Amino acid sequence: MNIKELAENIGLEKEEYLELVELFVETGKSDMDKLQSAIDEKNVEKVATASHSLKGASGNLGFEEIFEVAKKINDEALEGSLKGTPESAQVLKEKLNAIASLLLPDTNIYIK
Amino acid sequence: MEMKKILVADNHPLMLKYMTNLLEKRGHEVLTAQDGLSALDILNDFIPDIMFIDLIMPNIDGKKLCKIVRRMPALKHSYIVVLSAIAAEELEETANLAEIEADAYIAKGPFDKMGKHILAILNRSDQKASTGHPGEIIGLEDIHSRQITKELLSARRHSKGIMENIDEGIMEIACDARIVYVNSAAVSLSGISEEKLLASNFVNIFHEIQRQELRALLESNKPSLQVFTKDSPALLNGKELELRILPLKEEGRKSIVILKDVTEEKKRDVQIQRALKMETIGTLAGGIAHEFNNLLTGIQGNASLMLLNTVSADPDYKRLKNIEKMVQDGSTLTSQLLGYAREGKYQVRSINPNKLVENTSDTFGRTRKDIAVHKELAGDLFMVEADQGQIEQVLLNLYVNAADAMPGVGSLFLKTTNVTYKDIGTEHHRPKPGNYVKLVVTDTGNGMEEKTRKRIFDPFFTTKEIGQGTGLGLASAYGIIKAHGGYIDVESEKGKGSSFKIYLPAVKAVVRDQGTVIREEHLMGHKTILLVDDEESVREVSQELLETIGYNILTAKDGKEALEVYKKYRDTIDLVLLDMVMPNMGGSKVYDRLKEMNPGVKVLLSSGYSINGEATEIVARGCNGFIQKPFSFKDLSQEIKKILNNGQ
Repeated sequence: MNIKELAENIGLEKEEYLELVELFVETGKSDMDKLQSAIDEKNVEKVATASHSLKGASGNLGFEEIFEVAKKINDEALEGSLKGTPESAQVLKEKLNAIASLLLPDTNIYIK
Repeated sequence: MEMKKILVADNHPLMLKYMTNLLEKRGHEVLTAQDGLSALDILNDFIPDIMFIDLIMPNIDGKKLCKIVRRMPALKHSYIVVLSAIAAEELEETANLAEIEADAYIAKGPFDKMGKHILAILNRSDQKASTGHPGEIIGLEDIHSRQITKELLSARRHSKGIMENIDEGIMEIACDARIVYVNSAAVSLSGISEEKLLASNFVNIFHEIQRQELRALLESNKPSLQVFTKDSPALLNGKELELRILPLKEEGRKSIVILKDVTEEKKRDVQIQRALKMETIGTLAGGIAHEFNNLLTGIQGNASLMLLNTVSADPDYKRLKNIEKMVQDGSTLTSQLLGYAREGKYQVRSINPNKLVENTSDTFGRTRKDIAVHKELAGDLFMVEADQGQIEQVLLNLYVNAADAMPGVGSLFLKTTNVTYKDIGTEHHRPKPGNYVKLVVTDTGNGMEEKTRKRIFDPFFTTKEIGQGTGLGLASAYGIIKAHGGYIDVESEKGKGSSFKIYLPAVKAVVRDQGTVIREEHLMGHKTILLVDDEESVREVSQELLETIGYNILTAKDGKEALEVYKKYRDTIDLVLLDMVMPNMGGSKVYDRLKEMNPGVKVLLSSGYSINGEATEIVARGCNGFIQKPFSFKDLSQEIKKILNNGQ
């Protein structure tokens, strides 16, 4: 699937789409940082906040897979659980990196 | 479509970017804000035609932002669109659209769908007449599947429920001191509505004189500061508050403020302090009065003895009479002190308080014809258990004070009513449950200032000129009422007169006989009396007095000696005159030992203190009588005669 198609799916021009994806990856990176430290601190509320942000943004851009994973983390956190969270966070990270390398090959905003 | 002014408030940069692109491309003017507080900043000088507001935002969330905006007159015609993923869920769940007060709702979702709804709304908002009725939800069918369970929502409501139900006020304030969250306790403590509190400066809700200190406190950002404590509380809405400021480390210099109302607690502290002070002074006053009464007994006795040998034509006769008179005055003073110390003579019986008011007001009316006395006495008044003389003293004291407060002319209002303990003011007292009789003495005089009112019952406090008042009148009134299990209060305002209120516990009526009247001439006897007193002067003068009227006297200087003497002469001794307070062995113990030796022993107790407490107990154990020092020649001989005549 090419970028133009992805952009059209969501009703945007290619350029605008890329601009938004870049913003998405940037904020996603900072959300992932927050998510990671929240997991380390076992802070359920912070996990919920960070995953909520990821969930919303991925939903906006139509990144269904990221949306589903973020939603899973968010739902669990709202129930007070962090059981599956570390694994889900790992999946999220990979998917975000995949999008970055696919859509923004010229930048190096990857998540370690 | 004409160009519109638009404000978008959302905490996600992606959403802001998208909305800006979408709307600017169509020629609209767009401003964005990442939280509620910055949105409000923008709204200070930007009047948008339409606002898109995210529900979940830091620093004042969307719901509250809507509420505030709805109350800003400048934004009366602005169209509000709520934009949130949670909107549909929560709205569906609670079905309470009116609470959010938006004109329309757009569920968040993929940009293409959202975009369509947003543009549709833009057209629609043209015909808008904001009526405040709940708007419609748009885009519900496009939302990603999300089965938020009821449990999730209830979990969120749980913590919200805690915040809303605790007594302490909680406020969250941003780094610039503006309030971004308040719970309902904070709203009621401050007396300011939530919409007004949010986004206003935390410091400015407090009293002017404390703002500087609060500002410095917030800026210092030290952890867990509790600077406004019970001793130096913050002033807000007429309340005294303890403040605790907890800086939140992680969230960019925000702070949580905990407000605790200590107004009532402080009132109680004042009550306790006041009670302690009165106790301490009472003990002191009682001690002094006791010593003084011993001295007066000596003086009185010596004067009486000299009078016995002096004919009335003698130039010294009048002087000796004067000494007796002055001793009487001195004794009145000490009895007031004892009254305050709750140590005075205390002869209780059931009486109708109306009678006390009648008696005293008649007496008073005769001496102060310039004062008009108005009485309003309840017909079915409860009885009280009281010492008639003492309560009359209290009332007369109040009348005299009232008269002094209205020189020349004025009115005195006396009122009696039945009340219950619930009607007693709780500023100074915590009344025991039950019925009370309320006696009110009101004057139309000068009244007094708050400062005076607070100290009015303190001993030696007087506003009269030196020599005019002892400062003991109201203090003894206080002590006497207290000793009767009652309460006394005063209400007054400068220039508006004063009103003293006395509450005495009501009892079921049992009227006892007033006692036998005894002839007033000196009563001569020929019996033997053992005189026990540690004060040599009292011993000497009493001995001489009693010998003068024909008694044989044995003396003992303390309890031990008294028992020895009694053992030796028990068959000759007809009566023991026993001092209550003595070193080593007190009157109470001596009495018990005497009783062991001879169950029929006759004992007359004497004390510079009162019949309260210990003395009452001894009388209850069968002791024959009590006489208060300083006793007059007449009183003593009457009392002795009464006991000796009994059972003969």
